[in-house]
Amino acid sequence: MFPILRLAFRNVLRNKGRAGFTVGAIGFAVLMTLLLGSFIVGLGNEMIDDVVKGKVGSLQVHRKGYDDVRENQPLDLDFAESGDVVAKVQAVPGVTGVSPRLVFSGLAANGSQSTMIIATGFDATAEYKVLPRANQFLVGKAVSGEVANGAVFGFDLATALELKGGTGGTIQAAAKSGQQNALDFELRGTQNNGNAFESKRTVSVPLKWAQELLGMPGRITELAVSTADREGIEDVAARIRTALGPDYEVQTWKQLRPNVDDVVNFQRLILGAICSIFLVIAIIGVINTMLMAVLERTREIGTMMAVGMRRARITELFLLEAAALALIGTGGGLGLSLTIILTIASKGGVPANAPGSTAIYHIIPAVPFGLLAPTILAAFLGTVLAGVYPSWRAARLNPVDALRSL
Amino acid sequence: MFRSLLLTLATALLVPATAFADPTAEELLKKYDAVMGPVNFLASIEMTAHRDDGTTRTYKMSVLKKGDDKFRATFAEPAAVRGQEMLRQGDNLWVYMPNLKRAVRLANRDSFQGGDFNNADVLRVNYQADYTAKLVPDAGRADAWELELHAKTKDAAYDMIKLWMRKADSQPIKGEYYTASGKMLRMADFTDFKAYNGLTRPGKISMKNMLATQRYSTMSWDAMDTNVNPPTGKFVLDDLGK
Repeated sequence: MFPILRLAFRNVLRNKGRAGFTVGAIGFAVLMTLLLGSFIVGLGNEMIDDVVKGKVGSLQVHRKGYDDVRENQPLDLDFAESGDVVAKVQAVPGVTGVSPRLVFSGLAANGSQSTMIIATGFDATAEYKVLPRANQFLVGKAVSGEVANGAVFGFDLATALELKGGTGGTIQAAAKSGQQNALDFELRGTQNNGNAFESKRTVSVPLKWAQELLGMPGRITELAVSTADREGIEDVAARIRTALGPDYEVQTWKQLRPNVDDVVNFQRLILGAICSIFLVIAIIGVINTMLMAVLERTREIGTMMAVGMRRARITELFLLEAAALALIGTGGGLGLSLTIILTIASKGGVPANAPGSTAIYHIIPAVPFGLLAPTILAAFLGTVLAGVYPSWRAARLNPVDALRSL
Repeated sequence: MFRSLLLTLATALLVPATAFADPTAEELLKKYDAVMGPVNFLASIEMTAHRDDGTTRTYKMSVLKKGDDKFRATFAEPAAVRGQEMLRQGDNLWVYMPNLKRAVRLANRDSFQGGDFNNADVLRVNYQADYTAKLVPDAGRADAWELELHAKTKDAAYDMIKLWMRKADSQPIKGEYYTASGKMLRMADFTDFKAYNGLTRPGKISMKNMLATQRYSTMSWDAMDTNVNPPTGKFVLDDLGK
């Protein structure tokens, strides 16, 4: 049906060794790009999930101006726990959960020593719906409705205060009015997510307990919100902004934890650079192979021209040979890499440390369309383009000179 | 004749009884403010903060007060805070950082230089304004009156204070400072009573942190002069650092 295509494939197979090396180089480039890429995408997903499903939620809502003074954990920018704001956010399409929180700073004491803390009060049911991974690094028991003064401390903080599960102490904080207040807590568990600051400073307590400590019954300073899917977060944030008006500010996880977004983007940049190097090396190999083929088959090209084959057909033939190499190499690399990736993913991924953390994450390699399509396209088109110069040289040969060559 | 004799006798008996009657809570509170925060004064004070880890840090400062609500503290030691100043004007409080050449606002409840006194303990001694007082009938000790002070406003540093004042001379000897939840936050012992240019008062306060008992701070008054009348211009933000 396509004699020239059949001819191209036959030509490729004439020198099986060389074709094998070329196809191997292309396949290796595709394999490495997809393997490396899938793990970097998996690591990025894990880091984002850790933040979105374990710490801050997809987005957060505060009173206007909160972000400027966030470091002071202001209590005067508060709002009602079950008022209009919460109802409006819950009604926004795409919102799957809302957790009211009260964030404050204070001192935790064990009776003889004290240290500074940043604490978050939340309702356990709402919080764990918004943050299903909130307790992934928990040792002991979580904050729950069962123990009214049950607290979870960062691991280093609990160690510094010599606190163990079941023991307790006092948390002292300035109430919204400015007066100092203090309440006893019972340590339920510790969190060790590998983040040094969080391990040394953070405490989780029941919302009602925090409201009592701070003299703020029914009041909160923050809403953590979960959304149906990660891709639609910006749209949901925009809808919440419209629903709440100018008195409230809405920030997505990218604004709340810009370092995570930066790290993920940087990893993807490095991935792009490494993959480009793989592909460039493979393409240089293809150019070399094709130039060798043109050189070796100069007389053959002269013969084809002498019997009436047009220059365009010569170009087409060599381009098709490049395409054949690309097809076999890309297909082989794709098949092998997908087999490896799917096998690892089906076995629950690979345990590893996220950058800057000692906690163990399970990286599940993923091949999103945004990685797969450019890799296949770059490998295939790159290889075909690598055939352009050799095929152009072949087509420019003078038939008489070509026939005379050795 | 008999009636007038009876009246004279009754009056004679009544006068000494009134003269030796227990002071009211308000009178004791007034005395506390007069002793601990005279209207105007210039004092040299040393504070030593004992921290959880066993380390100590000593601060030397001079404190100038004018009227009810103007305070200015200037730190001389340690070197790290030399030149630092704290200013109180009414309900506003600032700390001036010489290296930044600017003043930063502080809260009454914040710890005074990281020790166990808060800013209000040192720079806002006006219990009559901040608390209502009542005498506790059974003080638990024969030599002292026990006062229970409740915050009048939410601006007061503590929700409740228990204060013991010596019956002999109405000097404060002990204080307990409580949170709204009823927890004792700090406990103070007033000791080393001395006369400073005619004003007898405690020369030292030991403030113990009751939530973290390894922490405590002492504050000693090396000198105090109540015969000063500093100009109002010393208590403005623009004058800090000069």
